Amino acid sequence: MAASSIQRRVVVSATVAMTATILGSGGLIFEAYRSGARSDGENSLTSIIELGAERAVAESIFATRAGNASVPPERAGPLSQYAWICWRAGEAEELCRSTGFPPVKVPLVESREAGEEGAATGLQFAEIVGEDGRHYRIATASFVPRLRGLASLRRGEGRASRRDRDRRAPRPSEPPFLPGDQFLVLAMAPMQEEFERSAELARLMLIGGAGALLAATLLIRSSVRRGMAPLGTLTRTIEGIGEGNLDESVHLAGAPIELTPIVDALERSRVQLAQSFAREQRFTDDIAHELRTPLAGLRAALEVALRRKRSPEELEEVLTNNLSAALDLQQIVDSLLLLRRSGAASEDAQGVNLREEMGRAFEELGEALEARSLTVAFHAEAGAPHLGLGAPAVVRRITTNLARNAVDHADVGSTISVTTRADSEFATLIVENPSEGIRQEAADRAFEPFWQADQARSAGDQHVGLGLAIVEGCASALGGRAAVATVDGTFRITIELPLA
Amino acid sequence: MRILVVEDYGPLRGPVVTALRDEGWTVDVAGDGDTALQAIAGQERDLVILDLMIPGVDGLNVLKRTRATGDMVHILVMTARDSVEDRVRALDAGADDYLVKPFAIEELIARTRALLRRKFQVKSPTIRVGPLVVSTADRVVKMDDRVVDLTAREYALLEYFAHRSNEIVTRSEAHLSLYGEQTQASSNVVDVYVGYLRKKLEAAGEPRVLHTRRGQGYILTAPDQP
Repeated sequence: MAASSIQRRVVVSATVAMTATILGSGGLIFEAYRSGARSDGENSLTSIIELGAERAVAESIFATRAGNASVPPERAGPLSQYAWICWRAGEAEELCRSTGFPPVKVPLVESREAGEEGAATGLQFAEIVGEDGRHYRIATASFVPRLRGLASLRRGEGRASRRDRDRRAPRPSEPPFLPGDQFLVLAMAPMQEEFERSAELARLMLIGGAGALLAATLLIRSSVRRGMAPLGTLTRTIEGIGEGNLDESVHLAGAPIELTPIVDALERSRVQLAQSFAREQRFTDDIAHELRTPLAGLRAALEVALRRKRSPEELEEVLTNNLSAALDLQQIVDSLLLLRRSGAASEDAQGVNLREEMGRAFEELGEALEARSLTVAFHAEAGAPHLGLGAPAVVRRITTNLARNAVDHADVGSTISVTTRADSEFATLIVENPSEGIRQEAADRAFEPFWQADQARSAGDQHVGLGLAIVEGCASALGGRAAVATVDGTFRITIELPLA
Repeated sequence: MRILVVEDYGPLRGPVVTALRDEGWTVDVAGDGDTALQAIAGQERDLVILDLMIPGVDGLNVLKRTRATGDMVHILVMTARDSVEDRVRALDAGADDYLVKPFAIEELIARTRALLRRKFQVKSPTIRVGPLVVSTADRVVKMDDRVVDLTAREYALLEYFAHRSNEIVTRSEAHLSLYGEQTQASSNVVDVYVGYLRKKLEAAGEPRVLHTRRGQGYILTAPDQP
């Protein structure tokens, strides 16, 4: 899937789930209905057999005797609305059937245990398909007529004989049945109506289900769309964020909780971006300011020289002045490049002795140390030389900048303390110098490029406030870290470099 | 005119001082805030050109402390910081003008002249005293229509008298404006230069404009109101 849409996914899976639910529950409902309908049909057949079996048996016997093969509905009593067949138990030939019995091959009806007199027993049900293709429900039962029924039969026989006396065969002498004679009765009802009702139900359910599905799909679509709408607002908010517009916080009124982590993450990124842009901005401003003073010197010297005729000595002075300014510019640019480059880790990593490097760095500043009457005290904790793993050139940048910073800012006549130690992971270098009146702010801002504790260039030296920023850049380039603390008028820088 | 330049960066301070001295003004320098405060407190100056980024007490605090003592000296701030907030902060701290580095030396001098005029409550760059016309912008001096050729030092002294025209200038004030605190110059050097000036101004028989007030000093004023 090249571009997947949450909305489409939700709608598709919800539709599938809904369809399965509707089909499943629809099937269950339909089955329940069908079984209810079957039991209704069976119940009505049962009661009709129970009510009409005796009459059917009697009419069958009577019709047989009269030589008729069927009993018309008007004579069938309770069974008048049904098709039915009557057997004498144990005989294969049927005794009689109702007039107009549909063209259905009736299955063989077996005898079954006889019950009480006058009661239809051993009811069995079946569904069969007729030769006309119609479905029928049949019920079969055994029936033992009551003796009392004989009288009614005779009355019936009497009524019939009065009406059809001439057409009738002579009355046989044997009784129509003996007490305990068993008959089998089959009653049959078409299932057409039941089927139609089922079909109607199924159609209703399909229409209802499809409607529900459609409605649910639309609802889900719209609610997903509504749920996703804040994303549009969010997108516009994010699009509005740019270099010049990082101050507006990313927030989303009415955002669903699923989006909250995204919004929060974006807000955090924005804050970081804003801070980093602000830092960059300050850095660029600072560069501009630092470059301005030597540039002002260059320009002023040249303009002043050109205002009138100057002697060779005066011109030489101008040249010296401008060389000095140019060197200052170069120093600033070099420091900036170094700061930028120290961001990239060096490849020629090898062991460096921090103690020796610090010693060398202070040696190079011997004159400045002497001029400010400073002494350096080394504290190396017992053990082998302390090796910080790192590119020697990068480590040297750290040590020379630390030494220069300490020499420039230590109180006159004080002692600079250098401590080196190592544990299993890190080589640690701590440089401390007393610095009267140093403020906490110094620790917080020491690593900012161009920041200086006295907010001004120290007289006579070249550095421009990049030293500690370079130290930090170099330390992190080597995988280490730098920290600054001011404690009781002492400025302390701690450098940790990884040993492996 | 006595100007104090407070700037710690040598390669800039040198040319600025040279340019100001070329104008005939007396220039003293300070390389840090503390020296600057001492210099301002010690001597009366006509102008202080102050860099904000200086060691010791920073420029902004020099400004504030100077103003806190009630000192009315004109202060021109010269700094690398150019944001609106920086300018507003400096002006609100009591600066009279603001110049961003790097600048054209001509602009520094023009602003300096403007501040000096303001110091002496002179609006016009051209000062007239009787037949004398001192055009401070192009440093041309005329008696009526006759151009008077002066050396830098003579001009500087005349300009100082012109700025304070119609009031008495003591010999020591004139001396300070010429030489600052340099003490090598002999004490009668002012009298010598006044002599030269009178000679050149009256070369075509013009009436005297630079008068001596015995026991008090000198006064530059129109000839008919001695």
